[in-house]
Amino acid sequence: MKDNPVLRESLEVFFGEGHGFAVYFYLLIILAPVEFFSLYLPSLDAQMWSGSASLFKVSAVTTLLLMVYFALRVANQEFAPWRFKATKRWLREDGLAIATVGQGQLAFLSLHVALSMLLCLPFLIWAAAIARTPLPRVAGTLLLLMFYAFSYSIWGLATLVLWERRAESRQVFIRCWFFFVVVISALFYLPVNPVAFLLAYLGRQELAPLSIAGWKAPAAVAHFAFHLLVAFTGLMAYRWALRRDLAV
Amino acid sequence: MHLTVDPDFISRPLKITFSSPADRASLEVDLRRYFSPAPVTLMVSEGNTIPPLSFGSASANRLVALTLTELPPDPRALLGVSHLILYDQSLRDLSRSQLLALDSWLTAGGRMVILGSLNYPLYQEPAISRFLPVRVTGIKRISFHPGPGPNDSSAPIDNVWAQASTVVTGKVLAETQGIPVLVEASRGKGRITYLSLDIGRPPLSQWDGLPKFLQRVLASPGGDDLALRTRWDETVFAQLIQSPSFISTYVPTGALFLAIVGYLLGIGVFSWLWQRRRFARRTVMVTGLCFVTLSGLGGYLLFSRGGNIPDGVLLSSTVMESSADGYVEAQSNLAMFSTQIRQYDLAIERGWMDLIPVSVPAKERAEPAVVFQDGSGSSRFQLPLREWDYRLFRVRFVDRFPLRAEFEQQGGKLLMRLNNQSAKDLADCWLVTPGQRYALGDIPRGASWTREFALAVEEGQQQAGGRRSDAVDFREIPFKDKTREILFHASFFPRDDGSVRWSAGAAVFFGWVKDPDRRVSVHDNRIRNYDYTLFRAIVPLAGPEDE
Repeated sequence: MKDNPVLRESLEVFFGEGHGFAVYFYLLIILAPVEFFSLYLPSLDAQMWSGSASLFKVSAVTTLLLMVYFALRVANQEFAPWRFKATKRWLREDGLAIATVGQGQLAFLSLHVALSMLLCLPFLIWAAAIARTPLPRVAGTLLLLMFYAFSYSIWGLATLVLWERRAESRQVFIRCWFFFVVVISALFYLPVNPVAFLLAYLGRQELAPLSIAGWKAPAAVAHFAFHLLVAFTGLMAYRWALRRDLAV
Repeated sequence: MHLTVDPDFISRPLKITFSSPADRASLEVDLRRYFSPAPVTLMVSEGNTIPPLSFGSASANRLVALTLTELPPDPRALLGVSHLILYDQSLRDLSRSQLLALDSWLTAGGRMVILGSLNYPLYQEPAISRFLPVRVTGIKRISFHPGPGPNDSSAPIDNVWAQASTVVTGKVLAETQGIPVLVEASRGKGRITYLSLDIGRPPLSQWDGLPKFLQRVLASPGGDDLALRTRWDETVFAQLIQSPSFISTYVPTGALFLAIVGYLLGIGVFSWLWQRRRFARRTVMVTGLCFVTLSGLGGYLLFSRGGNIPDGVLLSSTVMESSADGYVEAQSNLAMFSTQIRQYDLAIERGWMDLIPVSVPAKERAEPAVVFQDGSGSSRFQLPLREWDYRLFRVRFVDRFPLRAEFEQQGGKLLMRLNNQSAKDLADCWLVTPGQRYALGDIPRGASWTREFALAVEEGQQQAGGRRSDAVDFREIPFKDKTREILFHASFFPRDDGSVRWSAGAAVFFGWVKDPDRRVSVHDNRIRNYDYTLFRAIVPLAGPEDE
């Protein structure tokens, strides 16, 4: 994997040349004030008050949105796009196998998600300590954040390969996709929405089960099934697009 | 064992369960038939030998006879009692807690009527002497003229047994042949009335005018002060917890800010080192990784275990209002809030009367709060709270605080006499009159002065008769401490119907008590106590037409 040229190129552009630092800068510079000022926005709510009590919830949801958004944009090569070699060139001119290109891009995406998580980790842990969130819940939240970022951002890779020469179309799709998964999905069935599920998980609340024609599935099962389906279809679309590139 | 049952719980049968590892027993008590909507008059007499007392049909109060042992050791159990009549009764056998309960009830506004009897040595015992406004010296037969009014034409009654005494404290209301017959003394908000006559023995026991006479003795003087009004609810509490200065009392905002800034700077330094290539990238990466890990762990330890974050905060805001004889009526508004799931033991000092929960607990939560009271009269209130949970309460006290603020209106001027004989200094004192406010600064203990203040007269109305503006405006009074400011404007002097006492033209004196005595506290290092106490005196001012 270390010798994978696609991964090496991405590492060089992002970290060697420093084009990727902006992503982590945005991530931290947005999360830090949100976390700090949410302490000063308390409000009473039916015998509980938010603010410091909800510090971890607010920080976790902000991290979720930022991680998903930036993971999608990184997968879509929106940062320093001119420095990346086109997928078609990897496949045709350099003669790389589809698996090599796929592994390289997926590995870099995973590395980005892990690094984003690592950099946000202190903020989340501090918020958890102040809000008295139990450690198992914190660990569960971290896993959920990485799971969401990875399962959604695969679609960034799929669009990159599908519409490689149409950068604007990709950008529009990425933003629509982000808006759909974090907002619109709640309109169809709330437990499918990552924000709602995360808040319910942290608030130890039971979400309504999915009920279709008398058949019922627990909310957690429906949630993870939906997200695994999103990740799987994204992966399939990505694979199909790579194959199409090689064939055309 | 004595149990005090709150009136709110007597609408249905009360089930009391005693349990031990060996056994469990339950008892159901129906208290509804004992409920009296009107205040009760208690009569305690030796061996329950009640004189033929009758207050006539005019009295709404229900008379209940009981023995000494039946007197409750908890002052709250006396809250529905308006009068306690003692006749021919030794108080020698009263327990300390019963005596303390009587004391607390008296100072909180109760009325004790001590009727004299032939057995005068009973009245020389120390237990009853603490209440008597006289020192009883013997017994005499006197000729008693019952009519205090000028229109009373009733004839005197001869050979009435009356205790001879010398007045210790209080005011003699009636005197015959040099013997004080009716003496009245105040105790806090309450009063003690002493009648030296033996009404249980002839000739007074056969006197037709006795019920009417007793009604006069027991009659309320009227003009009771309005109850102390402060506002204490979720709205006030929300204002408090939204105040940045108050947030920092339970959350380490400063430390979090420094941690965030330090972490961002650290990440910035590492990214700069990475790009400058001054050190091997592997070294920068490993050190950066260690920095992030240590930042996270260090911050977690600081914010969860160290960092001086309390498990809970008990905020007590008290307003004390001068009552009489150096007593004050104090209402403590309490907010107990918790950042952890844990149980809190609130210690309540002696002399408290009501403990009223303000916030209504959520339906799904049980309310297993229990009050324990020991023999000395102090109480513990056990309160289980969840994390980020809170409860609001009100507690009423009557306590000694000999600070006297007296006002005398002299035309367009107000003469104020102040004497602080309390053990506390007052800070940030103000006098507010309609249209005027005067900053009086600090008033140390022992201070005594008299000052004259001009009363404002509205310019346009001066010529038309010198009518003052009635509004007392507290809005412009600033306090350096934001929490004090919120408590003052939102709780102590709210702008709603509670403001009737000062909106109709009044002189209002107030000052913050420095290092106030804690009436309610939690003795635990992990819990912070914050006390804010304001002393205030409100005196209505006469308008020009009254003058």
